[in-house]
Amino acid sequence: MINCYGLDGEFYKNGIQFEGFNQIDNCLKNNLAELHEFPVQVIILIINEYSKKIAKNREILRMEGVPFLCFYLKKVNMEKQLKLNLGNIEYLNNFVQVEEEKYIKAQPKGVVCHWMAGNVPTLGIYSVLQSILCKNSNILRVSVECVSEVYELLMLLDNIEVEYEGNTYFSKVILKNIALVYFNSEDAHLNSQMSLKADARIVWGGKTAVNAISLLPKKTTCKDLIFGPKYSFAVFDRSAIESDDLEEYLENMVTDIIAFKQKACSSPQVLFLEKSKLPVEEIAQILSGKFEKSIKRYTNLDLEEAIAAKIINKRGEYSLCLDKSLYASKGLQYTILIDSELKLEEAITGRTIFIKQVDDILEVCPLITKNIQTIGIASKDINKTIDFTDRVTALGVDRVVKIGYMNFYDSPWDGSLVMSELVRWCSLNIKGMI
Amino acid sequence: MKVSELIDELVLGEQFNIDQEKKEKLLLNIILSQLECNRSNPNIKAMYDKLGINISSIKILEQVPYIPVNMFKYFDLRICTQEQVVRVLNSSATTTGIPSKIYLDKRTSIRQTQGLISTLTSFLGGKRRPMLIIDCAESNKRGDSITARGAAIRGISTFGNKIFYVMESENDELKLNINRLLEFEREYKDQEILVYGFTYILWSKFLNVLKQEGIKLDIPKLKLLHSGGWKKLISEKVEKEVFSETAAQLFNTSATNIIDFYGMVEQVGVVFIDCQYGHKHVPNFAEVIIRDIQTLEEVKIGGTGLIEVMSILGSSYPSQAILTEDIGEFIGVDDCPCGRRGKYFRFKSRVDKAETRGCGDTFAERQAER
Repeated sequence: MINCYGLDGEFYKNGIQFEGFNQIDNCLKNNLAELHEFPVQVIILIINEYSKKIAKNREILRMEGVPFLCFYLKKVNMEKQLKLNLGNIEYLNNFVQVEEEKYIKAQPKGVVCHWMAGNVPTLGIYSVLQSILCKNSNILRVSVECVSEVYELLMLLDNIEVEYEGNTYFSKVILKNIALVYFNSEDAHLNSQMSLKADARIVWGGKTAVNAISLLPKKTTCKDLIFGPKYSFAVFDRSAIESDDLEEYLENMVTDIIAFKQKACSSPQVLFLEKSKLPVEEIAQILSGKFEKSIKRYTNLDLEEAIAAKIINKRGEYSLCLDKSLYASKGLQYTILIDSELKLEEAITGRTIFIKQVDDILEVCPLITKNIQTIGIASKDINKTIDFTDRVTALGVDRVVKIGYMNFYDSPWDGSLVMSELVRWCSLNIKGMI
Repeated sequence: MKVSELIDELVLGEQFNIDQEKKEKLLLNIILSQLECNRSNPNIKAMYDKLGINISSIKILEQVPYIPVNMFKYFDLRICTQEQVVRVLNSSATTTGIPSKIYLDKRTSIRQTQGLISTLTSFLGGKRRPMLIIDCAESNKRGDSITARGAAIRGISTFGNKIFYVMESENDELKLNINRLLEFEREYKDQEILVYGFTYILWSKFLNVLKQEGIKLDIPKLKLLHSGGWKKLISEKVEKEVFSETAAQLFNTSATNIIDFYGMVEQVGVVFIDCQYGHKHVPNFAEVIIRDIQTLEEVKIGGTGLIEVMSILGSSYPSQAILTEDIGEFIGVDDCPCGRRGKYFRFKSRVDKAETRGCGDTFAERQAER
């Protein structure tokens, strides 16, 4: 059974139930034409108003990741992202001449189906609004953990009106193109039905989910965007460690670790420190101090039993082992584990960071595979940073960002310019015809 | 009084009769002296140093540094000399595939047996009686090392005047010897007898076989003790009540005669047996601290958390405080209607090892693909 919390511009707090996707799909198809008539500038203006509404709602702002979402949805950023993805936003409105009597337009894909992971609730909004900017209709399947948060966020998109070139436009048209649904992830029949409705499938999740959805039947014309499991870590070079900004870098490191319970694909699990005049232990102590400060603000730990058990075991191992060390809170609020083995460690999460010292940050290169998404970096040396980035991205890393920004959603993501994948590039070539 | 004399007094004396406040003081003094000895192990010394443990500043049992139970799998946590080791206890390898190694010297081994006898006496009385072991004789074979099953059988056997093993091992598979079982029933059906087995073996290799074969026994005066192996039964959706009812029906006895007890190979000698009110009580020579899973502080009455088992029985390994991967509920102190003093609790479950997987969960895949 499908529980539908948003359909045809209406919201249902307790959900309305459907046995299949036909009614949802028909509803979306009926509403698509109206969205297609919206100039993309209108969608940007509505999203900008939406950002303002979120920013005024204190309750919603407390939700993890929402302050950055507000920033991301601002007009200036949306325009920037669209330009980066499509080159020219007019492609979304009209056939734009690209050569003599040759024109190109970015038409919507049609129905975009999103399968969202449960670890980052705001991701559903990023995913669906990028698709809306491309004038697609959407089935947004969220995990049970995120239903209420995504519902609350989408509700704020209602009742927005904007003026553009003398006409008034309503956000309801956008909402009419978003069906917010939940069904059991193990329901193969419903997953298959949803998949068969898709002109594009966007899948965010762990290995099991991604593999299962990838194997579902789909239209031959369906485009897949798979954001599967990824691993991230951080590096501090000597120039950063020996700089006056070390404390700030470590504070930002803590921010990156704490966000999204350290379960996002962009969450750092290991920190590699380049050898410097500061001993590792001293840096770990400063980091411990930063954690102590942060845990007063981020009091909600909410650890799962399995993760708590893993942390306890790692703490035991690192305290009993003669060549390892640790710094940890009295409870399980944070754990810093230090050893000298050059490897990536299994992600423990729950604010657990492994620290390892390297002679040169480039020593991490042999550890890199295409499963590494983000490297958070702290360095004062631009040339070294660019050289490092060039090498690690050649080996598989998708993004290198300054420490503190690891979990900020950005374009490109996982190597994709998402919006450029959510349109069909159509051409008109009439050279010499008229 | 010397520490060793104090330990003997607590282990050999009547159990469950010391008020909590007094008991904590007695145990703390003993444990603090034992912690000093623990420093002779380099790993434990490293641990105490890294955690900044100052033994003399420990004022309550909750502050005693605990060792996570899995560490007995990865480290040789031996306090005595190699020559003093008389036996090594091995746990079943469970999920990690690595068994725990618990080094016992003669003194620890004797105290563990004494502790077990003292505890069981409180529940079974001192009388020895015919005993049916739902296992094979090989599981309790003599040797330098012994499994958790063997250790439990050996300890409980002291309550039997005649021991009957009712299973046989064929190609490492346990098979019920039905003739031997029926023979035991004929001879002892009207007597008070004891039955002991590992919970999972009892269920899968004994009770299920009896059901399949349509055999119903008639031994109403038994006490059936069982321990260990709930994880497998929970995965098969067998609840404790179902287990007890099934066993009671097949033996033609009351479900109150089916007694579950909680213990572990890392703390042999310390067992927690359900009283008639379903509460698990802590013997005088041991303690339980239920720690909150986030703060690791002791929960208040009514709270649930990780079960830490403390014991003064060990002189050859750090038995003083072991943090398990079991979840318990702290029920009360000194006031169980059964009359036993001290803390009492309920075993709830093993730690749920299933976790919500985020998109950062790629390590296993990455390792496999390298």
